[in-house]
Amino acid sequence: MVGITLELALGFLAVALVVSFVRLMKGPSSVDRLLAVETASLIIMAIMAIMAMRSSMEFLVVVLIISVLSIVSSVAVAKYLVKGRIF
Amino acid sequence: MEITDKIGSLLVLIGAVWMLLGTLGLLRFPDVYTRLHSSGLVSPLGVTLVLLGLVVHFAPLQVSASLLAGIIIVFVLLTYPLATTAMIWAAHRTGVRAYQEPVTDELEIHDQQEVGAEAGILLEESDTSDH
Repeated sequence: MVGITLELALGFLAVALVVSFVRLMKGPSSVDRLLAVETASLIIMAIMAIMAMRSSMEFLVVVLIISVLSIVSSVAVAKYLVKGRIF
Repeated sequence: MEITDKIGSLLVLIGAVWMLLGTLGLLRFPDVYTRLHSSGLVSPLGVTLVLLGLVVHFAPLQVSASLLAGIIIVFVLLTYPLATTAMIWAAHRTGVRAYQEPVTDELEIHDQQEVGAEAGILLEESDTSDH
């Protein structure tokens, strides 16, 4: 029962990833695309967490690094869109 | 242990459905600001549920993995609203139009007043000269 639950959760998260990429292609403004990349990062974090449950404990380090990088890059791109430079 | 495996996988499934519903709102809403509501409020809670499933699953035998998942939960919940606020600010300052006319626009009122020194640094325009 544990195996089929994890496979079902991976299926739902794969559909969510495709949906966020549709918004990445369609979005009329730049903030739409920034938001789609941010959401895709969160979905990839959840997929890596499920892989940590299935295979090996070391995938949780990937989750930590992706979260830090996505926060910093999202704030940097938002400041660049407003000001034309980062600092 | 059998019972922590089952509770952990059930929490992971609920978190995955939660994230799918939040991303569906990202597809269907008509405006940037409403899409930021859907993705900035629903998605971090979905990731929190998935990582709570990990905390429960790893709790009996590998305590360090469950502690690491708890640290990631605290980090995501503390810093994700910062990214959402930065994106809303960028959307408003670049002039993205709302779907309907808003009743009040407090960010516009805040931009026109000079509130303080720190807000003055935040409000500097893009055509200032180099330092």
